[in-house]
Amino acid sequence: MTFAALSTAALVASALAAAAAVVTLYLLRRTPRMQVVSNVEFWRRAVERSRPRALFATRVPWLALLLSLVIALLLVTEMGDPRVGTGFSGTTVIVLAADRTMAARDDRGRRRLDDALALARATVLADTVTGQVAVVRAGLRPEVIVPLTHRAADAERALGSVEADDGAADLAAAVALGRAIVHATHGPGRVLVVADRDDFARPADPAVAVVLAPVGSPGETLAVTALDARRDPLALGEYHVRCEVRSYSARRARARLVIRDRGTVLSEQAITPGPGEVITHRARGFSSAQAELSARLEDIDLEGGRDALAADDVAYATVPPAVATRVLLVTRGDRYLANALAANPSVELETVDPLGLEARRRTLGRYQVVVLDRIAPSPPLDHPALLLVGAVATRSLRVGPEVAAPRVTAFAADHRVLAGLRFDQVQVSLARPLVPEADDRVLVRGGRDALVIARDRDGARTLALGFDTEHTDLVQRVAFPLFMHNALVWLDRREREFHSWQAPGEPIRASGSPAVVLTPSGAAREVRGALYDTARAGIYHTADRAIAVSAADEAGALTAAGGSRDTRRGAPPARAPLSLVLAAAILGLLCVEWVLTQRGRLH
Amino acid sequence: MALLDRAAQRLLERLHLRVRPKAASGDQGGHRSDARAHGLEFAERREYVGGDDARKIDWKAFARNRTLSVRTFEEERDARVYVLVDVSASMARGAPPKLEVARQVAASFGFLGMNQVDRVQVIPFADAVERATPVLRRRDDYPGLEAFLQGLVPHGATTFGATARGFVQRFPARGYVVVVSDLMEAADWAPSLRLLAERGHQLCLVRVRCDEDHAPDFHGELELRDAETGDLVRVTVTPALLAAYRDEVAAHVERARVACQRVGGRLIEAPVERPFEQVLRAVIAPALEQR
Repeated sequence: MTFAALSTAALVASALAAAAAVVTLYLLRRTPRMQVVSNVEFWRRAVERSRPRALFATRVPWLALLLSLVIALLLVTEMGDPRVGTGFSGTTVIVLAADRTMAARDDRGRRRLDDALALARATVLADTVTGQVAVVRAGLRPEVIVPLTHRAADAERALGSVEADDGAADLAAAVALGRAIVHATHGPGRVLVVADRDDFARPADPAVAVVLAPVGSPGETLAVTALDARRDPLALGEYHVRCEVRSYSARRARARLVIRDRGTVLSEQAITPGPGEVITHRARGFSSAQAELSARLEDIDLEGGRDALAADDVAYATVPPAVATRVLLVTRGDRYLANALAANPSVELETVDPLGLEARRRTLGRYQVVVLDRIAPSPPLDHPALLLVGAVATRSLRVGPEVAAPRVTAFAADHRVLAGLRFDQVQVSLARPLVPEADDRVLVRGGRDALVIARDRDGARTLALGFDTEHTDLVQRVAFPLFMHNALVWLDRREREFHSWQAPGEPIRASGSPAVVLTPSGAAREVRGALYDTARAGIYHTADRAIAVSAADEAGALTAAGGSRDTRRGAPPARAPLSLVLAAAILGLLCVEWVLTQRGRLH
Repeated sequence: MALLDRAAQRLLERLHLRVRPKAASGDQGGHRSDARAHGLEFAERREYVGGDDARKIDWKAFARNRTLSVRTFEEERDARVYVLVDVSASMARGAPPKLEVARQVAASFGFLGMNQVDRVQVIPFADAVERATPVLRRRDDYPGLEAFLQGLVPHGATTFGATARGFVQRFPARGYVVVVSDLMEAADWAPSLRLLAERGHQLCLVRVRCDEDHAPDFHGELELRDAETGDLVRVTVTPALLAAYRDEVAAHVERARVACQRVGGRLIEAPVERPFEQVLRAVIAPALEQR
């Protein structure tokens, strides 16, 4: 027999304390108080008359003490949660999936997470008898919620507070963490994955068995799979919304798609997607300084079926306030550059020649970005955002000899400056290759020559082009204004403003130390630098902006993990409330003693 | 503080301590005696027998009935009132202490006796008769009586048998004996009461009682200490024990009451919890004769 709730030392200490308490109470109860009376002889005679005759009656106080002791010790034993039985002999690490699909409900309305918790509890109860157990919560980030323990009560407390995150779980990382825990014990062990999917890697490791305990059953759901909002580049102050709904049901669905801005309904549309159909809803012409959008599916009807997952019925997005970028273009005359910048409605452009630049050196701080067209000012400009077109060699930027007609062989499509652009067809007739330094990022390469580099160093960003507008056809392509726009966004560090949402788990950066972030539930969280606990979808607020956390792009069909379910165990049977029985026994005993005392059976 | 206030004194002035003739003394006083012929108050008319004083022949009756008869008169004699006050240590128990009420009872009887010009003596006792007051006869002596009573201090253990024997030796003259005590001595009081009666005393036993003695409300484990002897008894007080104790005390008091009644006396209960004026009006006064 083992004790799940108390260690042996704690159990012995508790037993001694209980025994001491019972004996002390008995002695206190039996310790007489002094009472002066006029004459004790009458009392002597009364005692003689009322003296109990039965041996039982004279021994009741001692019997009561003994029984109280026995019952107190039984109570302590019960508090220790005695276990008799067999479980896994060794270390069991339970990896408990806690991502958004675990909130899906079955036909009885029971969540997958509830089944998983019941299974985890049963495993803990069984395996703590013969081994030790740890629990890893596989949410957005794997975390150990119960370190290795022999006490089921520890795990029970931790399991009681597990909730599902709104994002996808990294089950592979959680399993790896579980395996690491088992390895650290240098003993036999296993990792029990309680999840509704089995798409995680199971390394062939004979020392640590990874066992899947599947939960959940396939379900039907209608989901918002995308919600984006973009400012209209042609209409300053306006934005448009794109929302995508997908049916993961074999039936025709009916629902209302309601798009709101902070509770104000912007759009409401009845949709009837067929099985597997994707419906894209676009709305434009909304005007607002900034918006906090939600797209929600309401009144969902799956022709008799039920929408199993409520978490995917809503998505969030924000439209940040429109901010103008002040740009200083220093050129001896370049209509391509000037026109491309002037066409951007969010740019306030000022064009000067090199002499004009000298006059504005003291006020360069007014401009978010400075564009230098084939100019190398002396002394160099001290500005945090420089766009160098037809870069000229300076102390901080080395430039190679001219190269004729370099062919673009590679470009960094993942960089924000080249987002949505292809450079493989761009022609350059003459260039002076740039010499990148260690931390420079080469965005466009022509063979071994760096044609465009991006530098982010010491809080300053520089984007340098090794060619000018006269020696490339880039300026004649429709992509040029977009390239310039991307360049300004990157240089002005406004990339994040062009994301209308972020995924759960991504940190929310907040200026100020400490800063306060309001969560979707309205709770104020004091953070330093960033809030990392963004597992809940919704609109978060910092002092200067709103951030949408949305898991729409993680929506998918509600499948269930395959494989054998032999390892599945039901919830443990409810234990008889032995503590209550024992407590009632003590109470009953005290009552009997009291009654006997009151009836004069004792003395 | 005076033991008797004016209201109590006015009430006592309306009461009369009736002393049976046998308990009256030989001196003339305010109580009727069995002695005939020398008194002033007409008692009866009887047939003349030889040897009767011829001066007592009722000639008017002879004229009417033609038979000789003589008129007899009762002689009024004074009485001795002995007030025995229990001053044992147990008299300090109760709230207020039983001795305080005993002082008031003794003062009442003393006042009553002095008011009808009897010879009053207050005699404290515990295990024996102690120093008594001088004979007090007049109302002027009452302040001295109060001072004496106020000076009584509870001490010792009650031994009424020894007290009675000592009393009859030291005070041979018959009288009205008032015993003021809590009766909290377990020995039988009947022989001592009979001894007093056999010596011609008229008895009145006043039991000053408190709830602690009469109906204690104890419970649990107790070590009882005797207020007089210091003896210890350990008990677990239960309702049954309390009932047995009450039965013991009640039987003891009943024995004393019966013994008292058999010798022509009476037992009066004076609970300390009641205001003394109420005790005086409701308990003591009805037991005495109204003027």
